[in-house]
Amino acid sequence: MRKRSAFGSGIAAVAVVAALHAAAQSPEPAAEVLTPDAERGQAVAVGASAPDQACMACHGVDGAGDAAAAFPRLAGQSFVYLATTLIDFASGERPHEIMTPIAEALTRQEIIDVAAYYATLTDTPFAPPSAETDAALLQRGGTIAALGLAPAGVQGCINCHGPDGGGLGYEYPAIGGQHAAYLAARLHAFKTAESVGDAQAIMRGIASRLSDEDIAAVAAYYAALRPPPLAQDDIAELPPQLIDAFNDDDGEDAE
Amino acid sequence: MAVRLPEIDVVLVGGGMTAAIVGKELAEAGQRVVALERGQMRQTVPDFQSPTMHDELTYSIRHALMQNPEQQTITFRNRPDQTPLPMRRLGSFLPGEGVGGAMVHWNGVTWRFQPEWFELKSWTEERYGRGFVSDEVTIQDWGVTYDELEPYYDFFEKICGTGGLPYGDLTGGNPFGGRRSNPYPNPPMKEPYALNLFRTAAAGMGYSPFPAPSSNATRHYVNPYGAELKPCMYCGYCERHGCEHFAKASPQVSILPAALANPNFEMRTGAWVTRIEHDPDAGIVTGVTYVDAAGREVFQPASMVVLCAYAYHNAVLMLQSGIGQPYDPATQTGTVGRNYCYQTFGGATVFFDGTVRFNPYMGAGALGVVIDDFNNGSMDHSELGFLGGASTSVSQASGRPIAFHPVPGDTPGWGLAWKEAVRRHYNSTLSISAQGSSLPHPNNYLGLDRTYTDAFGNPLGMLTFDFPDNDRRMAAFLTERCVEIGEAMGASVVEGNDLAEHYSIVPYQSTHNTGGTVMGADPTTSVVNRYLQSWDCHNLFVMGAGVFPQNAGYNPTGTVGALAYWAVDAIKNQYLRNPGPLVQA
Repeated sequence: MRKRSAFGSGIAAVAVVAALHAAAQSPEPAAEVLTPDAERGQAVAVGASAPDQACMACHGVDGAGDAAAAFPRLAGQSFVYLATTLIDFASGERPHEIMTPIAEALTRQEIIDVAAYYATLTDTPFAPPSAETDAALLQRGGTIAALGLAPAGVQGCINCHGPDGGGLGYEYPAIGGQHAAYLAARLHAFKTAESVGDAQAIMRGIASRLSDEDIAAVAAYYAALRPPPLAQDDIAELPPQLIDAFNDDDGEDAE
Repeated sequence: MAVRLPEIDVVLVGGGMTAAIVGKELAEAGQRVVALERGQMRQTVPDFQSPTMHDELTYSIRHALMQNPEQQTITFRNRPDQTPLPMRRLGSFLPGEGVGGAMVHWNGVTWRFQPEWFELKSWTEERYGRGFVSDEVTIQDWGVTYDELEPYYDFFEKICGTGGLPYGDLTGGNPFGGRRSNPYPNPPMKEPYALNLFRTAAAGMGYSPFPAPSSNATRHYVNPYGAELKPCMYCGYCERHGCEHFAKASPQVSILPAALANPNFEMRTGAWVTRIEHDPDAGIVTGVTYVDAAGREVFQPASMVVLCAYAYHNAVLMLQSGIGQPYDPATQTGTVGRNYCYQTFGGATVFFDGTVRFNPYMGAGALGVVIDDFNNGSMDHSELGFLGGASTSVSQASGRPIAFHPVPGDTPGWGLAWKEAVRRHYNSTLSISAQGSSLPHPNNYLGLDRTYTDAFGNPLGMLTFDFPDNDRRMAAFLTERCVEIGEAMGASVVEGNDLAEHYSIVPYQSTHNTGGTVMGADPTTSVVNRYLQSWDCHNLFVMGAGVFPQNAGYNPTGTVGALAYWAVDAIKNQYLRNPGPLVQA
């Protein structure tokens, strides 16, 4: 499996200073320097040390996920988004029946490593929409994606997730090529969930204005988009959001 | 012969911010209100959606959201002894067109003026004595005080979802600001590196930095009208652009949903008002004449007319309609057109020559760190030789590629050396800007042009303006302070930005035009009374920055909003119960 070549000079070269509280919460020492390593991340993904919690069981070694089971595709997703999502699962910011215990069992090093592993996968296969896909539904989803819904006051998805669904910056995940069942499940969860994860209150307001049919349409549309080959720009510097996420996590743990 | 429509209660001339406010409030009070907007309807979806909205050439350079000067413009000269010529392209300022007006393409900086501004003449005389400024500085009191406006500032901030400090409780923020009854409804914006450098340097010099009050929403927020603002994502396309995210407060996002939901309110687009009709003997206006979207002339009778057009255009419309006495600079008599003011800038461009990375493309219109230490009420002017002051800030509004390419002054204007300099400085340069006040001068005024007409055959408005000496001295002082701060930031090169020798209407400076229909307590020096009611016709009210007797060292929108709510309160609770002059002349 080919790795993104920029990785060696990008993520791996950057140090993460973890929070001062780290020592109290985990085996890692205070003010530790974390360096993401996709090779180690692959070991986490295949469950080398914890086989019953292997990511690949649901998300695949190639990060393709599972369309039918609504397990999301992870390949090429934003590194920071993946890492902060795991942190949110672990902290309860985004509680999830399956993912919360798994994320809780991961060390910070493992979170960063496994996020780096999936973020840099580029050759994961993509299944284009089948001939049975409802063309009218796709059309409607594409319109919502590009223009939003005027009567509901919903802006176009592409404002933040990019014209190709490749995400934007560090905070807006790639959704192009994501499985429709997962996207629809997330949008429904945004409507109702008490807590949906860091910075995602934006999506609560948007999803709450979408009908079930709107959700089905926009999910089908993005599932039909070929995933951008590189969802994110090369990560030359680890953004402060990730350090903030660890710090927030510590703050909540300490309470 | 004009088509005559059935009479309604209130006609609003314009469909921008103040029309949205007045329309919403008066419709709710049971009045049948029509807003006449010369442009088109515009909504966040689909009109402001990306990537179309991020077309800098269309929106920023070719002014897609602004007034078309081929249909109507103004003429300009620096002094009354010159021949005015038409402004054939927009330049120095950018009036809006279309529903939402200029509040669609504003930045979102939402100030309260310091209390001293509202009583500038009496404050100056009391503090520095009569004669501190020459007779040529025709400053005056507004007839309303900060304390009276405070609740309306507070409400306008809640409508806009303004973020800043104080937030949560009443601590922090601008130590030179007026009393507040409430903190800002939202927290301040995130602070990027360039702003932090400025904050650190300014604090080290003993100044008091704080985040700019911003109506680019910093979180999910529902305003008192039930309108929802969504968080800004710092895309850097605020000024000159519409906001695709429902994040920047605008009439469309913050006010019009509530107004349009009321059957008493109608937004009539494509309606170009050409004249306010009035009965001078009765001292009332009777309605307005406009040209509709099909080119027909229409008379809309109304019991009340509220001028809500762009600042200077309200004065031009009054002059075209023959209401009030036009100001004459030769005799310094008359009121309509008097005390036109603008904004006077000092500043410095600070080059770090590639040693830092600011990422200026990540920004928001009102993303700034400010010091108010040089504003009018913060300083002792005794030894300074001028009156006035400025809010001084570093902002990160946009790194858009056509407009933003700072290079040192000795760089060639084109060619390889210029390109290399742009590459070198794009990501490591910031500007310190002192947004200074503008004090009136007898030669600076709005009139009617005697030669040129608009597309409907009416005389164009005529602007006569140059920077008064008082303001020139202020700008020089402010630039010196900005250079000092720039040097304290550890920059490699700091260039002071001096005021031009004469005001030019060509390069963009600021869409903060004020005056022409000024408010006050004396009918011989003001067009409207303290409730923005015409002295000449009691059922004519005038909104907007045109009512400022002089312009402060701040962005005007917060004060325009507060004054609109202040006036509409008086209309609802005093005027409608007993129509007539609210202040006896």
